[in-house]
Amino acid sequence: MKEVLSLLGKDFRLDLRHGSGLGALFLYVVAGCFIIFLAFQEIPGVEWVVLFWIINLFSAINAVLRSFTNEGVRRQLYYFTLVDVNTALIAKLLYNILLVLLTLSLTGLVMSLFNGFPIVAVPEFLLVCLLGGIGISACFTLVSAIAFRARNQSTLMMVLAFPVIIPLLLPLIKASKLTLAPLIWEDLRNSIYMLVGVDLILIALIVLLFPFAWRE
Amino acid sequence: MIKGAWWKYLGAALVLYSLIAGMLVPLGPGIDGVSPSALQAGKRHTITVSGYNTHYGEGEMGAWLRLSAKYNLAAESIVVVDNRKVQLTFDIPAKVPSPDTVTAVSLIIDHMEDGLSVLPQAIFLTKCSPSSEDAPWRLEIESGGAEYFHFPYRGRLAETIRNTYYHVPLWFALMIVLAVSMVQAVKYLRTRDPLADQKSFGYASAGIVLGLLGIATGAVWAKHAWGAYWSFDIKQNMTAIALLIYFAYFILRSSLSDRDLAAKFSAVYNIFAFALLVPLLYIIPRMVDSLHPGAGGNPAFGGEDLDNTMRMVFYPAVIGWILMGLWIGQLHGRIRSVTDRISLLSSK
Repeated sequence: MKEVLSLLGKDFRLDLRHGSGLGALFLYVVAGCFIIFLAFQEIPGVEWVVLFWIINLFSAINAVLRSFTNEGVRRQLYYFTLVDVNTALIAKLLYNILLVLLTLSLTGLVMSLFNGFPIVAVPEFLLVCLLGGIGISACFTLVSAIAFRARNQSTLMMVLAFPVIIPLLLPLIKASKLTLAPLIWEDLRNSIYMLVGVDLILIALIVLLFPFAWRE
Repeated sequence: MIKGAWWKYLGAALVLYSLIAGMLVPLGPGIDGVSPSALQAGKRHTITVSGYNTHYGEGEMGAWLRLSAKYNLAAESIVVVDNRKVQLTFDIPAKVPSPDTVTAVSLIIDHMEDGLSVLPQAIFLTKCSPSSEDAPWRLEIESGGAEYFHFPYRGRLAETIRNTYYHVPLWFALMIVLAVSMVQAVKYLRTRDPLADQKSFGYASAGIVLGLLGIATGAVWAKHAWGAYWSFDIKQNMTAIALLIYFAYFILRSSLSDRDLAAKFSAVYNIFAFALLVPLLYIIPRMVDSLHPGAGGNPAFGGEDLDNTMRMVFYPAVIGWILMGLWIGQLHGRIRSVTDRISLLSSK
C-alpha cells in the first residue's frame, strides 16, 4: 500500500515537474472543444454527449500512452527490481484512472464553457462518467503497455484500442444520452449493469495479462 | 499417416455432404401468401391462396383456419385455379371462441401429395364476438398427406433456409477455432514454447477466414431476408468489430520486430481479444432489439426452427466445419513454423 502511494506520488511529481505533459493534455482538450464550438456554434444534447466521449477518448489515449512513454524502458526495469508487479500495476492503474477522470472533468468544464451543459440528471451522469473512466483507463493501460514497445506506437495504439473500446463506449453513450432528460432509474439500470460488467472484465483481464506485458 | 488424420477426412466429407445435400434436397411445399388477410367475422368470404412448390391441381386437398390446436374451421368450398393457386371459401361465424375481438388465425392446407402446410397468423378475424360457444370451430385435423424428403418452407425465408447449413456452422467453427488459438496463447505464456505461438497464430488466421466467410454468407442472407446486405443491425456491427479486433492482432504481430516480444504481446492481446469476442457476439446483441435470431427475445434455435430433415444436414455441417477449421488452422500454424525456422537458419 505504501509502495502504491509512493509510486503514485512519483507519477504525480514527475508530471507536475515536467509540466509540459499536463499542459499539452489541457491544450489538446481545449483545442478540441474549441474546434467543435467553431464548427457547430450551437450543439444539441445528443451531439454534445457523443462529442464529449469522442474528445475524451482521444485525450485519454494520449494521456495513458504518455504515462508509459514518459519513463523509458530502463526506468521501467528499475521499478521492476524495486516493487512487485501487482503493486506497479495498481499504482499505474490508479494513476491512469485519476488522469482520465481529470481529462473527463476538464472536457466537461471546457465543453460547458463553450457549448453549454445539457445534462439534466447530473448525479447519474457523474456515475456513468466514473464507470466509463475506470473502463477506459483499464483498457488503455493494458493496450499501451503492449503498444509502447512497438514501432509507430500511437498508430498501433489506435488500431489496438479502438475496436476494443467499442463494447464499453456503446453502453456509455447510451447511458449518457438517457441523462439528457429527467430519468427513471429503471431505464438506466441495464446500461449501468452492462458498464459494471465490462469494467470488471477489463480489470480482470488487466490483472491477468499485465504481468506478462510488463515483465520484460 | 492416415491413422491420425481420420478427422480431417471426416471433416472434408461432412462439409462436402452438407454442401451437396443442402443444395440438392428440395424445399417442401408452403403457403406463399393469402389475400385478403383481414376478414370480418359473421360473413362469408372467399380468399385466394398462392402456394410455393405446391401441386394443388393434382389430388385431393382440405383447408382449415386454425385458432388453436382444438379449434379449426373447415373451408366450405375449394376451387383450384392451378397448381400454385387455390380459392377457398369460409363461412365465418360471428361467435369466435377467443377472448379478443380481433384474432389471428393460421391457415392450414392438407394435400394428398404435398402433405401439411401451415401459414402462421395468415388471417386476422375482425369484429369477433367473444364466446364460449364453439360448435363450428370444434374440429380436429388429421393429416392424410404423403411425406417425402424435403426442407421445410418457412414463410419469407423460402429457399434461403439452406443458408442455415453454411452461415451458422461457420460461426460455431469460428468460436472453437479462436478458443483453440486462445488456449495456445495461454500455453505460450506459460511455457514460452515458440511452437505454441505459431499454433496460436495459425488458428487465429483460420478463425479470421471463417469470420469473413460468416459475415459474407450472413450479408447474402440479410439481403434476402431483411432487404439489404448491411442493415446496421447490432449483430452485424458487433461481429464486424470483433473481426476488427482480430485484424488488430495481426497488425500488432507484424509491427513488433523482436520475435519473442511479438509472440508474447500478441499472446496477451489474443487472450484479451477472445475475452471480448464472447460479449460482442453473444451478450450485447441479446440485450437490444435485433433482426437476427437470438436477440430481442426471439430464440436462436427454437423448437420450430429446425425440423428433423434439417437436423440431418445441419449437425453434420457444424461438425464438418469445426473439423475443417481446425485442419486449416493446424496447416497454417505448421507453415508458419516452417517459414520461421527457414528464416532463422538463413539469418545465421
